[in-house]
Amino acid sequence: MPIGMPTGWAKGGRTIPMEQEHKQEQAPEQPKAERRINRLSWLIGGAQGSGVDSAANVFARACAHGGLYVLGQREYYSNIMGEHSYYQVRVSDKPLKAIRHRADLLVSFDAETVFVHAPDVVPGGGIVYDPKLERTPLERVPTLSARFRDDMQRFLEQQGVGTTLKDLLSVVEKEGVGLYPIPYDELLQRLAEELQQPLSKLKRAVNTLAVAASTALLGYGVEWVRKALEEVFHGKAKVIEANVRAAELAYEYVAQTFGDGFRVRLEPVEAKEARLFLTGTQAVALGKILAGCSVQTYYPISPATDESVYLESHQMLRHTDGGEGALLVLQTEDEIAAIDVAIGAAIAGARAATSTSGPGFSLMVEGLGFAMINEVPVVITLYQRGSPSTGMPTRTEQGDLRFVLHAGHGEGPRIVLASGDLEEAFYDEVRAFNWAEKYQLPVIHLLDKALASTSETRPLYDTKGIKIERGKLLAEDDLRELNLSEGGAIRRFLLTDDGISPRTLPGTEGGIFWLTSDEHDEWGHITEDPVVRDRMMEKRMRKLETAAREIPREEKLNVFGHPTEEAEAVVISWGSPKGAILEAMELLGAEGFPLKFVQVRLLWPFPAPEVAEELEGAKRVIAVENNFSGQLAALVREQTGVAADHLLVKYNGRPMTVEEVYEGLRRCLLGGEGDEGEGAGAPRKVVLTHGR
Amino acid sequence: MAVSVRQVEDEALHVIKTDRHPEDEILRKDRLPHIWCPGCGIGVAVTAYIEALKRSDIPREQHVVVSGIGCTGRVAGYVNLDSYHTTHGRAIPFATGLAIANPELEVTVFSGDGDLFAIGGNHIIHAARRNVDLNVICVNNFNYGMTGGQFGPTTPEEAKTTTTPYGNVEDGFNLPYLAAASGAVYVARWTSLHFRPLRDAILRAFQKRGLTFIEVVSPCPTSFGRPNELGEGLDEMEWYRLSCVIDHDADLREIGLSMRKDSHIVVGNFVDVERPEFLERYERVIQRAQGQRSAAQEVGPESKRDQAQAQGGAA
Ligand SMILES: Cc1ncc(C[n+]2csc(CCOP(=O)(O)OP(=O)(O)O)c2C)c(N)n1
Ligand code: SF4
Ligand SMILES: [Mg+2]
Repeated sequence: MPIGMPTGWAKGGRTIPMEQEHKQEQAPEQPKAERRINRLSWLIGGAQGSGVDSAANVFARACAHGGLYVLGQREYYSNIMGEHSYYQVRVSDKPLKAIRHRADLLVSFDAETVFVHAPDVVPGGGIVYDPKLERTPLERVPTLSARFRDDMQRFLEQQGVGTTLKDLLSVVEKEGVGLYPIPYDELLQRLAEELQQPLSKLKRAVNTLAVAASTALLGYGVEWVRKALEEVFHGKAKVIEANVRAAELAYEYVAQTFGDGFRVRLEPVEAKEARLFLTGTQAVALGKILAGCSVQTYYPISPATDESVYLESHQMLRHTDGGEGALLVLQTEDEIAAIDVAIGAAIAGARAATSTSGPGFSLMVEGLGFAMINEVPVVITLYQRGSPSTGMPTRTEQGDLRFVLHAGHGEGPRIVLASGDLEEAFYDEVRAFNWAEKYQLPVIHLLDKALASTSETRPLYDTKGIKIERGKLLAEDDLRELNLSEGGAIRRFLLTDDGISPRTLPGTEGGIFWLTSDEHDEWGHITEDPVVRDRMMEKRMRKLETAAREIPREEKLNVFGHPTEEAEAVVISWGSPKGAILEAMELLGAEGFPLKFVQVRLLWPFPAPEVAEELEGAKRVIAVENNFSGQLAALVREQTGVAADHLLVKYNGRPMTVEEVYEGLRRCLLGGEGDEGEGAGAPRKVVLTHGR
Repeated sequence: MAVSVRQVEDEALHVIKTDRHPEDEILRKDRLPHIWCPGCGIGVAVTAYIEALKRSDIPREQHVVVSGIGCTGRVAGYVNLDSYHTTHGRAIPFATGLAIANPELEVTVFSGDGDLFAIGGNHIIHAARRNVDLNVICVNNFNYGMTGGQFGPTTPEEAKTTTTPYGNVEDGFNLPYLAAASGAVYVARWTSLHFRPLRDAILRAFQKRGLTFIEVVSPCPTSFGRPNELGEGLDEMEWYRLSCVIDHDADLREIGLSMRKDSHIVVGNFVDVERPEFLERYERVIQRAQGQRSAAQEVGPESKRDQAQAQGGAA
């Protein structure tokens, strides 16, 4: 396999259905056989800081304005400028769940993007590029990694061609990929003349030229691009004018040069409902606002910072009842301070949260212990990234599950929940605050970089059912009524059946309370008495039993697909692979492999009886995770005794794509090339490796 | 160490005559292109360090660079020396380990303002108090460059950053004052405009025993220059040229940096004092204790420490 990865056109690569309803179009000999409408996988790349983000934004918004669903994923380096970054976008008239790594249309304005992504373009697809770069040799793209350069060089050698971009394009063309050179410089020159502006000021319009060339090929009206440009450059009339004109020039050029032969078309459809276009960090931030979070602390860290930046820009909120509320966002000097400030605010009665990633959470462990022993309701939003240590700051991973379950010395209660998509991310954040206050403990909300940098169009969140539950938080009247005040103070750690004690806020008359990080008695005073220690340990842990009893089954896990008896296998997973699994399941279902999928959402207290029940009688169990060792699989085995038959894992820092999960599940079911025997010989562990 | 005019001319000719970069032997060419943006000031600080290193009589093999995490933190990866890119905020503790385990090493910590003074703030004041033999070079660009321009511990009041969109409400640290108060034996501040004085300050730092601290005020056009309308890197250098005042005897309390256009940036070699370095003191105490021990052994078997252990104390 060339360049170490399966691709659409690479010889020897098995063909994976690109879109379910158009399987027959795969053959490279007849790329223009039939038009495909409103099913598109699109990719744009370029040097970080060169405007790739805003170009993708323009494209996605143009599609969204035409009533289409959009789902995008951003991949970037932890550098500020220069390195290769790219956006994968899927467009459809039906809601989308995950990215595909193979593109119908690759949009570029630098050589690196073509070198890196051309192998991922499907036969019948196309590449928009700058013809002046054709002579650029591989060796002259300094930001390519040495590993990639070596692999690509070997591949080109095998193909018997040289190392220029043109050489690669010739190979690609033979596989049925259409080439669409756009002379950006010429078009920019024309733009400069028309607008009578210096060329140097219009350089950035190359992004718009590229995007518009692609939408022109797709036969999608220029008016949608204009709308998107007006939105993205809101308030900058001159910039809008220049970019709209650039878009028109691109449309003219494409019409004259290439006609309308491109196989995939986009057509506007009527959207029946209002939609949001947002990212994962924004979904979580909105959840925080709806949950009534009033103090958010953080120390900058990828990929969590965007959430705090977003909240910071919405610190003053207007409530629906006309009132105003403030959300105080505090950037601290480090994560040790971030969690402790949040804990202090929670003790004082704020709904408080902190948001971080692995390295930051490592520093929060001390504070976590304090929150557990003092039963403080604090929410920790944790975006996992490539680890350990600084790891891969801007790449994804689900490597922190075992860490958060055990973080801290000793044993203390915590709740851990994980979201699988932007829908869950929002509601789970609200849930996290309610559970924190009801059970008086830290709640860790697990997300990852893949979810953080997903952007999608989706219906508005339904906020009617959202309730704020503050648990046993008592005011002065309650204290009097319940007769809980003794000598002006309360037993903050009163032993109760459900393990939850009444709580007051500092300043409550008759409700003085004490806290200490040492073990303590009901009054919060230090004790080393063995009997009191037992009682306190048991009380704290009892809260988890209470939570397990009270949390409804559908909030603990989601079950999709076929009943166990009918299913060829039960797939078990958690977090962001959800979308890719669901789409892969559909493809496999259509091929006669019915599957069942159990998505664990509550990771602690672990819903062992429910999971065991769902797995019982499974023909085989396949665990799918974005980590090395299959952390959930191990947890399931520990908690239920059920060992997964197969592990489908990925740990190269990139999210799982539909094609990969499809292929991986197939291999688990049937065995594959190079595996020992078919069927029973399917490997125990399949490692997914696609990534650019 | 004095540098002859001849030597400087030779170097200049070398640049003109060859296509090699004058710092090629110490820069890791294989790691280029570097990650820094056009107009970024970090490169000037690196070059000043390399030039100082070339002029120092400490053998190359003894030089070690330790960085934290950040744009400045990447320095460790570009020098052809033993160099370590550690974790965010912890360059100083890692470097302390190196310095106390092998006093032959000339350990330089190269990191950013956020790394050294926010998350790592505790470490630097204690290393200075302890007077460990480290050279600390802090590239102060007034923000967290690498993570996208959030405000940091040196961001002046009122400055705009991604996380202070309406202006910073906090005051920034006055770094030389803080370093001096913590016990640094050498404290200087220069900007990326002051290449030669900076190089000489680093050279002086190499000669000192104990913790030295050099602040390099530096443009970050991408993340700090843009929101504060400071222009390109070169524009910011021009601003330095107009607003810098060299005053080696400045009152350190007075040299905090502000965003006011009419304010001055006071630069200079402010502190150069002698104070016994950590290991020196450590050796002295050990020798004294050993002397006492051998004296005590002549008198009786139990030292005070043994007695304490026998009684059993715990914390
Ligand atoms: C524990 C931890 N928290 C946060 C981060 C994210 N982080 C990486 S670099 C950086 C800031 C760097 O700022 P500075 O030290 O001023 O260096 P500059 O980039 O400005 O040179 C932060 C917050 C991290 N790597 N580790
Ligand atoms: S972001 Fe700022 S500090 Fe970082 S490389 Fe760019 S200019 Fe330099
Ligand atoms: Mg900085």
